[in-house]
Amino acid sequence: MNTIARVLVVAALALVAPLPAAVPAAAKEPIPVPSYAQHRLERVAAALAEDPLFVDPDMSTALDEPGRARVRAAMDSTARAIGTPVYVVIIPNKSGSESDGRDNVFLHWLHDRLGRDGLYLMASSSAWFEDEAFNVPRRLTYIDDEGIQQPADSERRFADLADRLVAWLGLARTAPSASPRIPELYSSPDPFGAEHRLRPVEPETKAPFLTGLLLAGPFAGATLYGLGLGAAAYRRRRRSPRPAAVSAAVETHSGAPTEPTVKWLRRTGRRELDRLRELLPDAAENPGRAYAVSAYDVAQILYDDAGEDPGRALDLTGAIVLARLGRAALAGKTAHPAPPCFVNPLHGPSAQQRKMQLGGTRARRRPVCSSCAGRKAPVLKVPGPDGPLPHYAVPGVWKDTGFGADGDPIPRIQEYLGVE
Amino acid sequence: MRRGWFVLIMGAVLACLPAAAPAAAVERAKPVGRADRLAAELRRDPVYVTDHAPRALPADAADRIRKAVARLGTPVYVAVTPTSLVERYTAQDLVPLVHDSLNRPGLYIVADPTSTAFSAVQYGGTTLPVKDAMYAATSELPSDAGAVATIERFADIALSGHAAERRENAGPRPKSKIRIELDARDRSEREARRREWGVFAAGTALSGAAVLLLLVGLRRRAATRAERARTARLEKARTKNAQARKARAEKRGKRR
Repeated sequence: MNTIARVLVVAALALVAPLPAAVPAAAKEPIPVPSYAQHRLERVAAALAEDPLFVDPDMSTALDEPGRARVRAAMDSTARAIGTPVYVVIIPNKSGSESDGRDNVFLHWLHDRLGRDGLYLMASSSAWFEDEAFNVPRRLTYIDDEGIQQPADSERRFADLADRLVAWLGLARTAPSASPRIPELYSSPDPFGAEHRLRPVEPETKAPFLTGLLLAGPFAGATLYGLGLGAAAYRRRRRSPRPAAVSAAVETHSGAPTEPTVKWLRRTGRRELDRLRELLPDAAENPGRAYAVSAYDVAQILYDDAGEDPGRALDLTGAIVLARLGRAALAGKTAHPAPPCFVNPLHGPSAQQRKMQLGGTRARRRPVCSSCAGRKAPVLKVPGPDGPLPHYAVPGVWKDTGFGADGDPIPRIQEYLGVE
Repeated sequence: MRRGWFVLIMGAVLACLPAAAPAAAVERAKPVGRADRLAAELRRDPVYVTDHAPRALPADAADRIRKAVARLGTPVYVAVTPTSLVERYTAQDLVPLVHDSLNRPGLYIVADPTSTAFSAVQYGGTTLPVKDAMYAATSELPSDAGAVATIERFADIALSGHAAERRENAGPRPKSKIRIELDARDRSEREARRREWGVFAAGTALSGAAVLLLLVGLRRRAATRAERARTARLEKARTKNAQARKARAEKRGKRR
C-alpha cells in the first residue's frame, strides 16, 4: 500500500472515527466464545490492523503476487471512492470454525475485534464471497446479482479469484449512495459444544384437536348417520322379499263373489279385521307393522263408517282389501305388499300384470291375480242407481286408487276419511 | 584499524537496513505452498494444530496429541489442519509433500480437524503397524470423533500389538453425535405425529358422537311426534264417524 493510500485510509478512518463508538449491540457476540477459540479472530484482526488484505497462510496460493498487487490497487481506489477502509480476508471457514462455518458471523466478529468500520469482503475455501458493510455510504446489495460472488469454474475455484475481487471492488466503487448503517446479524451460530443438538419435535395439539372437533367430527357424525339410515333401509329391503315373489305364498280368494251382498261384505270385513287385529300385537319388530297398523286403522274406520249402507259397498270392499293388505304386509314383512287383483280386488293379491281395456278408456297394464291372468274374468260389480256397475266405473277414491293398483292407496284413503 | 572496521561494518549494516525492510515485506506477502508452510510449522514444533477449527478441537488438543504420540517412541510429526482448501489436497496428498519439504525421518500424520479421516505414513524405521492402526482407528470411532480422539486411538492401537486384528475385526462404526441426535429427533417426530393423530381422533370422536346423537335424537322426536299426531287424528276421525253413525241410526229410528 503506497503512502498516499495510507494517508487516505488514515484520513478516512479519522472521518469515521466517531462512528465505531456507536457500534450497536446487535453486532456483539450473542454467544460466549471460549478464549482458545478467539485466537484466529485476534490473529486476523492484528494482521488487518497492519494490512487490509489478509490471506491466511493455509490459503496463500489462492492469490499469486501479481493478483495481490491488483487487488490491493482495487482496494485502494475503492476505499478512496467510498471514503471508508476496505478489508479483504481470504481464509478457510469450515463447520468447525468459531463461527461454525458462517462467513457473515465471522465478519461481524472480526469487525468487533478490529473495532473499525469499513467494507469487509471475505472469500473462504469455497471461493464464494461474503461481504459486510459497516457504516459504508453505499448500497451494495445489488452486487449479489452480478454473478461474481461465486467462481465461474467450480473445478478451478481460485483461478479467477483476483479478477473477481477486482470486479467486485469496482462494482462497490460505483455503487449508488446510501446512508451508512450497521448491518444486523439476524441469527447467531449454535453455542460451543451444542452444534449437533437438535430440538425434539413438540406435538401440536390445539390445531389437530380443533380440526377434528369442528370439521372432521361433524362430517364423520353426519356420514355415520347417513350410513346408518342407508344400512337400516337396506336391511328392511333385504328382509322384505319382493312383492311378486311372495304373492305365490300369499292366500288367494279366487272364489270371492263378483257381486257381493252387503251382508257378505260385513261378515267378511269383520272377520278380516279380527284376523289382522290379532296379528298386530306380535308384530313389534316386523318391518311391515307400520303399514299394517295404518291399513287396519283406515279399514276399521271404513268398516265402522259404512255400516249396512248398500251405497257404501265399495267402502266395505276397501276395508276387506286393506285388512288383507295389512296381513300381507305382516306375512311378507314388507311395507309394500302386492296390490290386489284389479279385476276383483276381493280375489286377493295380484301375481302379475295384464293389459286391460276398461270402459272405453285406453288399454292399461293392470295387476291381476293368477286366476284372472289367463282369462277374461268377470269384474267386481257394486250396486248402482241403474243396476250393478264395475267397481272402476264408480267415481271416487276407489276409482282413483284402483284399490292400490297405482301404488299405496292408504294416504289417499286417509285423506278421504279426513284422517290425514 | 579497529575503528576503521567498525565504521565499515556499521556502514554496511546501515546500507542494508533500508533494503532489508522491503525484502521482508515481499517475503511476508510471497505465497508459500501448503506443504512448505506446514513443514515450517512442524520444524518449529512437531505437533501443529490449526486455529481454524476450535469447535472441532478441544483447547488442549496439541498437548493431548503430543502426549499420545510421545508413547510411540519414534519421531512423529503431526499436522492437524483443514484439508481440501485451494489445491484441494487431502490428508493423503499432504503427508508425502510435507515429508519432502521437511525431509526428516519419522512418522508423519496429517489429520482433518473435523473428521476421522487422516493419513499416517512412517518414513524410515518401519516398526509400527501404521497402516493397520490407521484403518482400525478410523473404523472404531464415529465419523465425527475429531482429530484428537482419532490420533489418541491410533496411538493406542499401534502400541496394542493387535493392530491387524483390530483392523480386521472392527464392527460397524459407532453412530455419530449428529446421527444420534437425528435418530432421537425422528423418534420424537413419530411420537408427536402419533399424539397429534390421537388428539385429532379424540376431537373427531367427541363432536362426531355429539352430532350423531343429536341427529338420532331429532329423528326419534320427529317420529314420535308424527306417531302421536297420527293417533290423535285417527281418534278424532273415529269420534266423528261414531257421531255420524249415531246420527244415521237416529235418523233411521225416526223414519220408522
